[in-house]
Amino acid sequence: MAANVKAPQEVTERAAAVLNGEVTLTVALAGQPNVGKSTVFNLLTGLSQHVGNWPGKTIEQKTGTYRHNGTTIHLVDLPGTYSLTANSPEEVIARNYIIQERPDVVVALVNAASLERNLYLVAELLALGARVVVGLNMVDVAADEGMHVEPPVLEAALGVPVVPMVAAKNQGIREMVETVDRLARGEIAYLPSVPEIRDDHRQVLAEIHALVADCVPEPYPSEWAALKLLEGDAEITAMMRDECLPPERWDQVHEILMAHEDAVLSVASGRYEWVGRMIRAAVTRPRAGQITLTERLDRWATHPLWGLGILAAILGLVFWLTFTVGAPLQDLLDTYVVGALTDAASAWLASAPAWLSGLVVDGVIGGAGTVITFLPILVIFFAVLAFLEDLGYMARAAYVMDRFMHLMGLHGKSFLPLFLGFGCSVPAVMGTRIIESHRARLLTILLAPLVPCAARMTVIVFVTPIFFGKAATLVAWGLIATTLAVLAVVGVLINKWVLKGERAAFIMELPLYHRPNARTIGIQVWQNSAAFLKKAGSLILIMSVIVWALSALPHGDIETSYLARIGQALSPIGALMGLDWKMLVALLTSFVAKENAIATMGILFGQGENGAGLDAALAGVLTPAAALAFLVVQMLFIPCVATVAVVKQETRSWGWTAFNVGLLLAISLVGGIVVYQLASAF
Amino acid sequence: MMEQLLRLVAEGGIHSYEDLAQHLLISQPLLEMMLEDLARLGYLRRVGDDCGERCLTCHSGGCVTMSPGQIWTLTSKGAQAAAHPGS
Repeated sequence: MAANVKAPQEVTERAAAVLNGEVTLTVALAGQPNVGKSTVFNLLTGLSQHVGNWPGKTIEQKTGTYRHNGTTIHLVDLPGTYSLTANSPEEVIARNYIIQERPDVVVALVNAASLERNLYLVAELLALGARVVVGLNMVDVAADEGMHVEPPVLEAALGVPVVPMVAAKNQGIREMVETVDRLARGEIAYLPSVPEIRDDHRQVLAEIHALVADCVPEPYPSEWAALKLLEGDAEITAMMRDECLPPERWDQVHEILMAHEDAVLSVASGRYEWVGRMIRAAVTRPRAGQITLTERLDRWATHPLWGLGILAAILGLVFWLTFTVGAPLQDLLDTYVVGALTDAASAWLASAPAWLSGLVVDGVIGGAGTVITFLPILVIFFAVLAFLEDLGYMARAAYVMDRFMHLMGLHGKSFLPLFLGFGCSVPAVMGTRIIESHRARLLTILLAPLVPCAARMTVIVFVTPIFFGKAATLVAWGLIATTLAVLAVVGVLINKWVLKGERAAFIMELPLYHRPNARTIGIQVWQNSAAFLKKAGSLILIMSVIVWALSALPHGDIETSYLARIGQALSPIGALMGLDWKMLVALLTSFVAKENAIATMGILFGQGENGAGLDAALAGVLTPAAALAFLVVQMLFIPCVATVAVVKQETRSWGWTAFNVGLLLAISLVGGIVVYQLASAF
Repeated sequence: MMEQLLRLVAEGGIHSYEDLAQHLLISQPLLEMMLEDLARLGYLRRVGDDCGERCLTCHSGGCVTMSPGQIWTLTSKGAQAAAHPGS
């Protein structure tokens, strides 16, 4: 796989010339960005630098000179690159310079603390035939991170000189200069270990090489050019096809390449295996501290059984915290802000027309104002979730949930969009774009609105404490579990009948657990709370005004209003669930946004008979069984209008959109009726 | 090694970096490089890259809160390479 830029005899002659002080050496400085190349370049060249641009490019070119043992060394700082695969202008410049200018030595500066990534570039330099000295920089950083890199072992494994350095402290620079000089003079045995292409494609490479070898222009190494063709390198492919090979020869090469499209995997695998061997030989990684803690915690957190238990417990804890801390704050806000605002507005509008007073007090404050009192609850909810995410737990939650869903027979690839649904159904539906299979994607879209979103959870958080007191946490937890169970059952049926058990896959990063950052959590809480307030101030406010208008028109009496007529038309269904028309209307208005259910209740039930608040008013009109039925319907009800819009957008079908709405409507109503009848019986 | 990685992923289910690195007897940084390379070559796709864009059109902002760590999935090209190694 190696291709020599300079023939051995040419190197020997050049070394002799160097010994005689007859030539100026050219040394190229290669490496990834931020590996310390500029530091080394500045230390060596001092004031004798020239800064310009690479020919035909806007990328900065730095060159300079230094003298060592009577020889002038021309130093060229190549652009920082991660590889030499022509993915960027920098990579093209770096590799073309090495091929065309043929520097005497290439110093590959590598970061000892991130050796894997840096050695990949070394692998490509060696494949190009460059004479390489590895500058093992930042050995102090690697040591601080507990990594133990052995330069002599790495040198033996690579077969090229390795010089440990801390360029920032001017350590190892002199040794590197000396090593470069000795290599150029031929005083160091240079026997590089070059990455090999995997066996299964070696013959293919030989065939391509045989076809192109006599057409590869100087100074390109022919073996390297053949390798790049096999890799699908766009620049070399275009050069060979358009400028070098006769058409019939190119057709032969092209035919081989087409038959071995995945040969790039063999080429890259050869390099990765090579890097892996070097790392295993020369690097010892830490086995203590943070990694061990993560591994220890993950034994529980990602366990198929205990992991689910922990997830359920954490979910319960989230609700317990929300109820315990958030609910009293919400009460205070309701009493001292919304209540006070209601009193002030009522007094201020006492002489105003009744409709204006009703609009402001009952419509705006009673609707949107009531929703805003949930801010403390949401802040706590978002803060706890952001804390868990920043801690590194949310990825584990996804991991164990996926296993659980496979047990239930659900499609694995559907998991992530469904998981996003805990935040909001809109990204959940849009997240199904990751699923290639149209059928699987469609079915996941249909399931996504069944995941309880944050807005639905807001309604749970409000209603459950009113009716279930200390058992509110358990009821909330049970409602979520029930919703997920319904989702799982529907998923099992879909998987069995439509997907035929197809199983797709994910790779998921499980980040190290770490101490959550208060600023990160704060930003997330702020973003989510601001989004909620924006929604309350726009969509919910508009809907509150509409609901109030429908509840006041045409005669100003709610019982004879348009809204009442709509609700009363649905009363037979409501009766099966113990819900009066007002609760049905609350459900209907949640179609615009789920929180509207509360805003509507705020408008329709007002502040209760004695101004005791919405919670007291609700407790007076609903039995616990009816409240439970309401919550079940609310959890399984048709998605909000934004979700329906993206379902239409993603399915591109009104038919499937209508089916989705109809399916959820049927499931929610059946669920509500069954729960009410069962709860009433006991 | 890269085809072996694709085959492991194609077996289905969810794989952590740690699981895969252990299977392949490589370090996690090397595995991460391979994942990025496979994505560049079109065999894998990073999931959720457009999350930020989605959040701009989403009222609840829930996408921000519920985004887990880095996630990759097989593309059809990756699935094909896993099913027919050595082509």
